[in-house]
Amino acid sequence: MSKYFEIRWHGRGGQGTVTGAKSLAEAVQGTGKHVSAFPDYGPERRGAPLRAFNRFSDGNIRIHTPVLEPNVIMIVDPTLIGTKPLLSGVNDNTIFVVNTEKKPAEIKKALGLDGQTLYTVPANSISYRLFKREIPNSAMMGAFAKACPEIISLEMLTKEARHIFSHLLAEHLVEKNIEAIKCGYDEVQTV
Amino acid sequence: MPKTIAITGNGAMAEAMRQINPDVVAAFPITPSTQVIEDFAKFVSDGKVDTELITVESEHSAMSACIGASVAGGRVMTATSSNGMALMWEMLYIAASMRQPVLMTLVNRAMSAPINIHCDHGDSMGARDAGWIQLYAENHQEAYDNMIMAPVIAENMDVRLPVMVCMDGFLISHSVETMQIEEDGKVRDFIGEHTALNSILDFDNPVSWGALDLQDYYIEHRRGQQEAMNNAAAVVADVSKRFGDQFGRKYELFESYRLDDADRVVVAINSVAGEIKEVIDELREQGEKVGLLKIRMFRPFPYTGIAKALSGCKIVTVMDRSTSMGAFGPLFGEISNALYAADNRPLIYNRTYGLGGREMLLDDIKDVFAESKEYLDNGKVEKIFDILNVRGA
Repeated sequence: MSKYFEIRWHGRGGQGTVTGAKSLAEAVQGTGKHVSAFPDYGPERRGAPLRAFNRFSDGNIRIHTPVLEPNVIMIVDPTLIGTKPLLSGVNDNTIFVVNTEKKPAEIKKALGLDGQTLYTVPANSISYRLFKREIPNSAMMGAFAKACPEIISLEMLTKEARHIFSHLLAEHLVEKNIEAIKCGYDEVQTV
Repeated sequence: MPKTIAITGNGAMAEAMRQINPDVVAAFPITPSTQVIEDFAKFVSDGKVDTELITVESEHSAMSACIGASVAGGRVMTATSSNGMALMWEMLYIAASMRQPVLMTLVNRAMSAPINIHCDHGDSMGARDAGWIQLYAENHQEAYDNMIMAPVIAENMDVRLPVMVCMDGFLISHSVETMQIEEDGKVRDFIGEHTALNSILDFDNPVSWGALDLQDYYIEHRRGQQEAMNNAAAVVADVSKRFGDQFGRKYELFESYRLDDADRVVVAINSVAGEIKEVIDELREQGEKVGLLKIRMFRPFPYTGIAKALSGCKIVTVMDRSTSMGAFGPLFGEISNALYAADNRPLIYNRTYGLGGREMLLDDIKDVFAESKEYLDNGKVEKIFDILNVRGA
């Protein structure tokens, strides 16, 4: 077992999954932890499966290798369910956070999971509701805070996210993203 | 107070450039170093630096513009990778031989062909004879720190040479990591003002730069350049000590990690050192006497210190992330040179890894140590050169 808290994100090119991992790292950085975020570096093609990774730790993070046995698997694109790389390195304690409209029990069955904890969040519909397009990151981050409050609380996440987004986005978009985080947090379901 | 932030390696280098506030930056984009200049261009547009940014039409022009601006008396920087630096080739030598303290971020990337944008050290290792001081970095913090020290080293009057600060493409350049950015004022105090030396624009004191120099003096100038490079070792050590006193992070010319009582040592450069340290800690817990010697300064090469550091151990695995076709790896060559005259010479062999970004996982590093154990137990090296994680071997 790694001494780091490790996350593996599964998404498709163009969905902002890499940005999601980076934004989460920046937010967790605000809690005083050491963080890292990086994708699998390949040719990035719109629609092609891709992975991104996080490590969080109280001390220095020395390694740069892909996460093999994640504590948390973030599935940004549910159409990847059924593909082999998704379940690589999974153990009984792996936590899943899945962007889907379906029920947790249904997704657990589709993934062939047993005792693992799984959370679902309708991040796409939250995103359509708020932004009128598919940018599920902020809702996914909110769902993460629900799944792993020991890493970052909703309060800390919204505070840090406001700080991060204010450098990148116009004010009304900052507030919409904060709302997306809160919706993601609130609309999580588990079995 | 320093700021603790999560930032990409390229972003960190752009921050260092902002703090250095060079007079001129000339660059041409190439993956994976592009973001360094992209971020820096924002600082230029936002008026956060006084720099004249010249967006040239090729890397050859980038380095030419850097040299021109430097002989005009400016503090000058650029960033590039791989084939981009290869296109600078002629001008790299000229910057060094004209003793211009040009500063470069070199984001290590494999040389073509086949086209590959990922990390190995073929670019900077190929340029090792060009006359640039070369500093290498394991992570974001070290790359940033090296760049803050670079102008102080380059502009020292016993040195006056260009400095290349190298870091691993993608692994460092594109990943986000926690690091500290020091206060602007403290960094600027540490670096100090740049003073023009024999500026070509000083019309009251006219000078020629890059003049013809044949049998009569060329060799003396080369000897002088060699002397400056030799001086650089002490200057790098001194500047690193001052940096440590000021900012708290201590750097030597090379890093010794759990080396004192180590029987089996790996020598490596750049980001893989992090993975190696992780494995060493695990093997140490199992009672294995293993250690790492990490190269920070490759040019000038600290032969004497390294010979001393390695003379107590029993076997050395030198890991090269580049190839010198028809020869051993460049790092292996230097370590062998260093050890030839050492007392208690250890066994030594060479492993090439990671070309074009081929992954080295923790288990792969464990295999490296397992092999060195086998060699040591047998008292001999079976294969002096091999390539790791390769098909068809």
